[in-house]
Parts: sequence; C-alpha cells; structure tokens
Amino acid sequence: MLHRCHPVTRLCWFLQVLVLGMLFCHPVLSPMALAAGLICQGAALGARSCRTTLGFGLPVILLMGGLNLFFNSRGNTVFLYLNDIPLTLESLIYGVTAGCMAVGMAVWLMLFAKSLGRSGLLDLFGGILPGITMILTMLLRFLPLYRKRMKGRMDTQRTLGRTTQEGSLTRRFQDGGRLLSSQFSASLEQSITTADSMTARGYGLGKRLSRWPVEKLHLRDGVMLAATLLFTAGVVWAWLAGTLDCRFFPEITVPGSPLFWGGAGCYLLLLLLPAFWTAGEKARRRLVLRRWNQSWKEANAHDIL
Amino acid sequence: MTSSEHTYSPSGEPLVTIRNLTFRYPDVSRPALQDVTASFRPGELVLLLGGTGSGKTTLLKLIKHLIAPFGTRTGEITFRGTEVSRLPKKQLAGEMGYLFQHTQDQLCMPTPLEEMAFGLRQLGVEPAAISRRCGELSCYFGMEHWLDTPMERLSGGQRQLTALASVLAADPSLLLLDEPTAQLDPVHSRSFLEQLLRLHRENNMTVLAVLHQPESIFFRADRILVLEQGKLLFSGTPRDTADFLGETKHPLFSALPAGCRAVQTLGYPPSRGERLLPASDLSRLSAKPLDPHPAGAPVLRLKQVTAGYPGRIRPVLREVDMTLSAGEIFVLLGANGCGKTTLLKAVAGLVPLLSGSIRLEGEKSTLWRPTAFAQAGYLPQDPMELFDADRLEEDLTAYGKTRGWTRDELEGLLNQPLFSPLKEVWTQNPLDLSGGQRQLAALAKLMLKRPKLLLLDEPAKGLDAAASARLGERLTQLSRQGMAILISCHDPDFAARHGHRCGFLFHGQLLPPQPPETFFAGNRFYLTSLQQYLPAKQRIALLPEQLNVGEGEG
Repeated sequence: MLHRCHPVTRLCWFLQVLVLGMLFCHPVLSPMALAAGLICQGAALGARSCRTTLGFGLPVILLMGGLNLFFNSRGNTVFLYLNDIPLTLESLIYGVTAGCMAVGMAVWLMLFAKSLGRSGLLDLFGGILPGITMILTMLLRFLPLYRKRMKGRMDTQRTLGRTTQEGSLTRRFQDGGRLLSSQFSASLEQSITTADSMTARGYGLGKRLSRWPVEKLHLRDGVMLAATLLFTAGVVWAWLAGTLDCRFFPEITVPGSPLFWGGAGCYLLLLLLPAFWTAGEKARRRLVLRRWNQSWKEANAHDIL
Repeated sequence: MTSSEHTYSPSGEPLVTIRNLTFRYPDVSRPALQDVTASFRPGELVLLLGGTGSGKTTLLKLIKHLIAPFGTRTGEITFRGTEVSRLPKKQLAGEMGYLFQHTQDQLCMPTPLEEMAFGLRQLGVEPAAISRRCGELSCYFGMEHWLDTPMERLSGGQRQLTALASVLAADPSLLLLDEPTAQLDPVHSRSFLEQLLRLHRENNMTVLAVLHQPESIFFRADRILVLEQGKLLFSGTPRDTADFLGETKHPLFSALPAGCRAVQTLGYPPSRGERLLPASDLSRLSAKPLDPHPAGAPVLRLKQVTAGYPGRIRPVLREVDMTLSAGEIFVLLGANGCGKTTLLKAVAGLVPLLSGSIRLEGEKSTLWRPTAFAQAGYLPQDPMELFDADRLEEDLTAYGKTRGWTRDELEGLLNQPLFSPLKEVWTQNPLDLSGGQRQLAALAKLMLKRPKLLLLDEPAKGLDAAASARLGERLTQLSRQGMAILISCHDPDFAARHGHRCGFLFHGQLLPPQPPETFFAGNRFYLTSLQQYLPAKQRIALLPEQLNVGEGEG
C-alpha cells in the first residue's frame, strides 16, 4: 500500500481512515468501508487473501446480525414471529451494519500493519526517540528466537517425560513453570554474550545515535497529504452538519440531503485513494512500455526488414 | 584463490604489545594469565592454541578493554603505544573488532542490514557514510540477496558473516576472533576461514584468532602462540610450533594437521607435514586396521520411515530403513539440513511419522499409534535444554526421584569411573559448567531414564581435539556396557575414530551403512583429514593412529 510514500504520509492516511470508520455506524458507509477495504486488499495482496478474509468476516457479520435479530426487538417492521419473539428488520440491519463496521476495521488494521511493515512504526519514531526505538527493534530480533528456543526446550523436556500437554493440572503447571524458569535462566546467560557484543561495537558510548535510514519527503507526499485532508474535511463537514447520522430504532431514518451524498462521496474517495494510485501506476507502466516497444520497433524497422 | 602469497608482509612497529600480563579472576586462586609477554605487528595472522582453561578468551577480552572481565590485572597491554585502559572508548570500539562463537547471541538486530549499520550508528557516523560502508561490505561478502531476510532464517555461516561485516563496518585495524567457527558445519566453516584469509591477504588486516580446529589454516598463519594454564608456552612460526609440539609430545599435537602426525611416524620433523612427501617415502607407511565390531542383538529397527514437518510439502526423510544393535555406535553423516536431526527426533518421538514404523525393544511407533519411547534418551544440540534447576545435584536428585532412583543408587551411578568427574562440580549451576562437563552431566541425567538407546545430536560440535577424544572414549565405554548409540555428526574424523558403522543421509534417504573403513575407502571427496593429506593411490589409513613404519612395496 502506497509504498512509494513516506511512512508519515501512510500513517496519517490510515489514521484518518480508521478514526472515521470508527465514528460511523451507517448502513451505507460501513459496508462501503468494508468493500473498499477488500478492494484495496485485492489490489495489494491478491484476490486469494480477499477470499480468506471474507471467509472469516462473513460469519462474523451474519453472527452479529443473528444476535441482534434475536435479542433486540425495538424495531417497528416485524417480519416474523418466532416463539413470541418478534424479529424486526431494523435490528437485523443494525446487526449487519455493526458487523460490517467491525470486520471493516479489522481489514483496515491488517492493511495498516502490512503497509508499515515489521518495523514500520519504529522507522517513524527512530529519529525522535532513537534509544527506545533501538530496544524495540531488538525485540523483533529476539522474540522469534526465544520462541524457537522455547519450542526446542519443550520438545527436549517432553522426551524426559515432562510436558504441559498431558497429565494432571498440578503436574502441568509445575512442568510449565519449570520450563519457563529454565528458559529464563538460559536466556539471561546468553544475553551476556549479546551485551558484550553490543558493548564491543560501541553501544552506549555516543550520546546521539545517527538517524538511519533517512527517508526523504517528496512532492507526492505533500499531494497525498493534501488530498486526504481535503476529503476528511469534507466528511467531517457533512458529519458536523448532521447528515451522516442514522437512527435505527424505532425506524430507520437517514437524512437524504445532498450533503450526505457529498460526504459519502468524499469518504469513498478517501478510502479508495491508494487503490486508484496503484491502478494508475499500473496503467502508466503499461502505457510507457507500449510506447517504448513501439518506438523501438520504429527505430529498428530497417534492421528487422 | 589467487596464486600469489599475501602481498604485504608483517612489518613495522608492533600494533599490540603485551608485557608481563597477569590476570586473576575474583575468588579464584590460580591466575587465569601468568606473566604473558607478546607483541603483534600490523598485518600478522596469529593463532592462539590452548586447551580449555588456558586463558585464550581472557587474553582476547583483556586486549579489547571494553569487554574485559572483572578481576585484578597487572602488567601492560598497549595498542599503538597507548595503554589500552587509557584509550578513548570510541577508539576501542572502532579500532578493534571482536567476534564471538555464538552466532545467534551476538547479533541484536532483526536483519543483516540493520546489524551492519548498528555499530556505525552507535558511533554517530553520518547516514550517507553508513549507507556507503554497508554497500561496500555487502558487495565484498556477496550479501546482496539476503540483506533483508530475518536473522532466524539465515544459516549459521551467513550469521557469522553478518557478525564479521558488522564488526568490519567500523574499519578496525585489529580483528579478535574467539572460536568463530565452533558452531558452524564444515562447509560454512571453510568458507568463513577463506573470507578471513582473504581479508588478511588483500586488506592487510591484523588477525588474532582462537580456533578450535586450527588444522586448515595452521600453516597459513604468521605466528602461533601456545598457551597452557595461563602461561605462554611457546611463540613462533607454524613450523617451529609443530616441531616443538611434536618433540615434547604435547597433547595439543593432536590439533595439528594430520600430515604432521603422518610424517612424524616416518621419522621426519612434524613441520615437514606441511607439504606432501614423495611417493617413495609414503610407501614406507603401513596401516593397522581398525578394530572390527561384530553386531549384537538388534535393538532399534526403522522400516520405511517417512517423516517430515507439517507445513512442508516434501517429507525430509523418505523410506529410511535402519537396524541398530546393542553396543553399537552408529554415526549419521551428511550435509547440513539433510535430515540427521529429523531422524533423531523421529526416533525420540518429537517428529510425527508420515509412514513406516519404528521398533525399539518391543515398543512400536507408527503413524496411527505414535509412541514416545521411554527407553530412548535424547541429547539435543544444546545440552542445557535438559536442565532446569539451579544446582546440578538438585536437578539430578529431583529427576531421579521421579524415575524411582534412591539416593544410594544415584551415588552408585556417580561413583562409576565414567561419571566421577561430575563429583567436582556437583554443587554448581549447570550453566556454569564447561562444554565437556555439560555433556557429561546431560548424559548422567539421561542415564536416569535407564535407556537402551542414546540419541546424540552433534555432540562433537564446538569441541576441540582433546574434548572430542574424551567424548569418544566415554561413548565407547557406554557402548561396551551394552548401550546402543545413534550419533549425528559433521566430522569425518570423529566418525572414523569412534563409529562402528557410518550411514550417509542424502536426499532424504539413508544410503547403506558400512563400517568406517569400507565407507571412507570408497569415497573420493568426503574424506578424513589424513586421507586428504595422502594422495589418492596411497590412502591406506583413515587416522594417524593407524600408521606405522612397515615394509613398503618400494
């Protein structure tokens, strides 16, 4: 997602999308956010991952719809009576909307994490708080290593007859506690080498850490920031004017003023900005290649013939 | 490898001078270093030889003053004329590079690129210079393709290269290496040493290295220092050192290249072993064969075992058949990642079988009825995974109790000559033991299971020649008591010396196992060190111990 932009731009855009998404629970806006998220996911990660997400997301939406249907009877339009429980259309729509909002936010959070990468947030704050950032980066190094070592230790202890999978509960707790404490002691021992290695290369000597790698801000970052802020302003204006509210109970009332469509349109554009960007890049690349191929053919026409 | 000798010869003012250095750890009566005097000139490649406890690591750490251990030091260490404790710390960090043997623990950043930039960032170098230096080094070592892979997905050799690059980024004039190839398999170890030699030859780097197996670069060094019990026993050229060790029949003689020991049998000075002798001379050698080991009753039987890890498409082991008898030492040989550990883990019950069966003394384990054998003892690559108490006695007594051992029985086990060295360290923390002691303690703990089969995963990793020989003796003793032992090993010498049968794992299959003599006799590339020294037509022996002067064909 937006890999050619500076991490700050990416962070701002995602923050705007996430905050706005959490503000609205609207039968038009929330499914729109979810759909746009899936489109962006398809553009960035491929259609297969979209299918997986839908596989998780659809049951959640249906579940929320169902729960609301059975436990919330405040709506007006009853379409079925089940054992004296009125099933109302409004509660169904509310449940589905809430589900869309939840799944949509989950999708956008996942895209956020993928976009910034494993150490994305750390790159951002590296310049401001280099000391803490370095320690957090070391976490990224050591957590997978400790996980692997812990698994090795658990396997070995299993051959000795000590396991946390079987046995009485007290035995399991005892064995688990012993595992953790032995892993901890071994890690302390190994960390002496790490500390020596870091000291030997000069850790803690200089007052200031150099900023590295240095990311430059380009024109496109400014343009992206301006565009997103513009769209967000439009949405917020519509929201402040009250046109993006929605009452579900006792009846669904949606103010249908043109400001609503303006606000919804701004939101849609905000959400689909990176998808447009990626599509635009692809089209431009294809165009450039086609032009280059043609010009090559023209230049070498006499050779070919 | 270029054909020229190194273009610069060591010359000029000494880079590091050590005068009457004595160092004592707190609360230890014997000094770790006693009155050591030496000096190293720029551009020299110096190897430090010595057994455990000889003070090699202490010496290196004292030179690199930033990580010097606590203790009392008398004497002088100067770097470029200034006493090391008075040098500015930034200079100490940048001018001397120190490499550890633990490949995983010495790296602190998630990717090699960040690791290379780590040192420079700490020293406050500008970002442009950092990028430049990282680019240079990744070009020099060919790291371009794996600069961004997470550290845990790299191989041991790549990790050690990353550590070397990270240390070289600050442009040091002295490299201090503490057994850098101890944890590496032979292929990666060889390529790492090649890179080191290249650095020394092309960039005139001063290198001070402790190597646990100095065989390969022994004669390429400029100087060798022999340390024993903290005292400097000998300092000289490789040839003089070889002669000295040979004449005094020093235990370290077994660490020398096999050629030295071969020529000594013929009466030449060991230094003559640097080059090959003429064929007429070599034909005077004869070899006595290795002891045969008749097969006993079968204990372990693998039938068409296919095993692999979930999530991977192809199984690691494919239709492996194997039989192991009581009292037999079976050595699994093969490349890194060929499945030796997987086979051991499959027998131990840690890796699920995809098909086939394993039978151990009446118990059977298959895909449908997996059994973790109670009579198999598994020793992992890191013996510390077996221990979980603060003191060795606590650990073994507690585990013994769960297995039904009384105190007297435990005493009886410890009184056996095999395990008696453990009595000295009985009250220590297992983490404080040396490498060989750790393995012995781990073996003792496994004995508490009363196993019929021992599974050892690369027990000889990181051990020097003396410790390796001790390990081999212990395993032979255990096998004589009737224990079946399955070892995975990288070292052809260890396999030839102590193995009763050798099996080669290749491409998921176990090739038919043979006794060492038949196994190595048929090989052209996978050879013991003595076989590599002898020319192809005259490979009469696997090990220097077999050689004696006999009637040659002339």
